Amino acid sequence: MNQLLSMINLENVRVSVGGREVLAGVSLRVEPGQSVAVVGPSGCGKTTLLRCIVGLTPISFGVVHVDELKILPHGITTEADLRAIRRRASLVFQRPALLPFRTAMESILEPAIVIAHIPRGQAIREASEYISLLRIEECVGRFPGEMSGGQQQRCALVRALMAHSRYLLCDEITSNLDEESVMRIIQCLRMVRSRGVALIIASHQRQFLQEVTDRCMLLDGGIISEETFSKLVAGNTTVPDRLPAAS
Amino acid sequence: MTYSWDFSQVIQYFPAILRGFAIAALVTKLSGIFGIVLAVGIVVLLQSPNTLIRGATHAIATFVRAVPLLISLVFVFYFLPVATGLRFSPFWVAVFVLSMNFAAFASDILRGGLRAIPAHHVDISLAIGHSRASLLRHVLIPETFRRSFAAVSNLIINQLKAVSVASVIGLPETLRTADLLIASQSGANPLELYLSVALLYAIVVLFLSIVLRRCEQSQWIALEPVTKHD
Repeated sequence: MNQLLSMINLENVRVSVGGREVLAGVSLRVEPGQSVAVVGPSGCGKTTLLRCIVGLTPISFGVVHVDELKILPHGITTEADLRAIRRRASLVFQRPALLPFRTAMESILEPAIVIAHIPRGQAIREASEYISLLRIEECVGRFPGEMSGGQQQRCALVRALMAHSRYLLCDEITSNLDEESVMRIIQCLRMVRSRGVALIIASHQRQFLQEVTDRCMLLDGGIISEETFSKLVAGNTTVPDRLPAAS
Repeated sequence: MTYSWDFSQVIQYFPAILRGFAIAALVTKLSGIFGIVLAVGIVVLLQSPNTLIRGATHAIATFVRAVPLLISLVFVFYFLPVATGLRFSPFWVAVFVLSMNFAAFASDILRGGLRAIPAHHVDISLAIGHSRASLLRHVLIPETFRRSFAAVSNLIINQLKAVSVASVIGLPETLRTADLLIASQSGANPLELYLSVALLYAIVVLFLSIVLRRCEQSQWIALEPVTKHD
């Protein structure tokens, strides 16, 4: 693929939800191997930004490029293009996203077996690396109702990784998680990043972001701008309340 | 007035009653299978973006639900030969009408089950690259069935009991068999025979209810199953 076409590129993207303009002309470019943090106060549109990259929330203006594929305003992108985009950019949701009637292992293998049609044995071998890294061996045979929030979130992360996407989008995946879960997730994200996967991570947790990202984008009032973590903590009024101070 | 009960006749006629019950069970099974397939089709058509398809499907399902089963059976039994020039046996007319009736009611239950699926279940499935068709097959249909199983179970039990209505078109199911035995020259006593038919239904329905309840709690059907720990 042409190197110039290998990137996520949002050009002047506007998104309205329920009559309110959540994104008011956002431009963002993420190239392979980069890791970008998206911060901002609650309700500023971080989730909307990530959802519109994978076409789950339609945009009203602008264009989203994922490699050579485009998402255009008002949902006119074809279903085939949307599916191709979602195979390249995986979104891990804030809410642990596993179907209640599938065991963790079934959910984890779904992108490989059902979507990519990889043989089950091969898919299990691939998954086992992430499963042991994230220490969820004991819960892969369980249903979500029998797992803690942290275990569910780690399973959801492995599920997203099983799609072998070039871009991994994480929407506040460490919120309300215990320290051990966060540490495991950091290790896992570092590993996938070392393999060339680009990360876009929305979070309120500065320490977590500093561990896994190298660029910081502040989203506020529907506008995105490049910032540094130190500037965000040092008295900027738009710093989100929950962004903890450095320890 | 004193009535002298004589259950010895029941033992004599029970094999015939059981044969009638086997026919009722077969009609229930076939109409249940055809009905559930039709119900899924109706639910899919009700999701169509085309207003005409949606409206027509809704109108037909509502009409079938509104017409009493007895009237549907009699009408189809006498109307089909007029319309097609072919004569259909009471068995297949019963299967057809009961399938339609089951589909009309089951589709409404399934529609409710479908609407109860949280939006984020759809989002997480679309996000990993499911197409609309594979979303339907791997996520929406399995989850809808799990959410609707208890209500559909009741419909299956009701279907077994509803087959007796087809006795009016001559289907030799349990009730019709009992009627014929009572009307025959040997003259079986109606009370004993009807009571035995009622008890047979009660025992089978009780057994079926227990089996369906067990199924409902199994990890293959429960919405939020748990693994079995030793």
